[in-house]
Amino acid sequence: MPVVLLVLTEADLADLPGGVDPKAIDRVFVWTGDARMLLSIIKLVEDAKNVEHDTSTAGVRVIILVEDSARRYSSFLSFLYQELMVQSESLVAEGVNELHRLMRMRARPKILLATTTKKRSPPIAVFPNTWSP
Amino acid sequence: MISDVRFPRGGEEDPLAGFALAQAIRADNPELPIVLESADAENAMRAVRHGLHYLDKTSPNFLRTLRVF
Repeated sequence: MPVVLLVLTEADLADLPGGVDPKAIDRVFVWTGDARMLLSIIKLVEDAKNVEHDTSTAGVRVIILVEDSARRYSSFLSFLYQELMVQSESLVAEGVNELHRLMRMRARPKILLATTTKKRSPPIAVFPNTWSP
Repeated sequence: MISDVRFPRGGEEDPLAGFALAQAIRADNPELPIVLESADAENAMRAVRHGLHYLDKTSPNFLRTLRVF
């Protein structure tokens, strides 16, 4: 079960004894009052679970966001998902039938968030199929 | 890929981590669109020298510019 911690400011993290335990908390988001953030949190978790399957079997594209500031990626992801939904809806409108429209909606690009990288291997090396032309 | 320039790399804060990441990815896939974002103006020139797209984090037009990218 993915666990997300919502804080009002990044300064709140300093009040956590020992800091954020990555074994207990998967991701920290800074609440901006924008309800779209809740949707983007759910989508981000879904994308992380589905990306390997969807890229290898359906060639779904991926947007990789590398950002370590929780405040920034919290608001940024809301914007990105909103943009993807608008694009998907415009494509859906052009679908020739219900199945075609459903497939187009599901084929929206996934978003992967990385807050750090290793010295030698980029995080997307795990999903080589996502960046084949 | 949309990447910050400064972030932890290998457990240490790296002020140019985004460039290192972009370079590693470019070596493997030169066609992958990459845009770096930073609030440090020096990184804008550095990005140009590396042939990378760049967005100013502090720009009021940040999201609009990203939409075009």
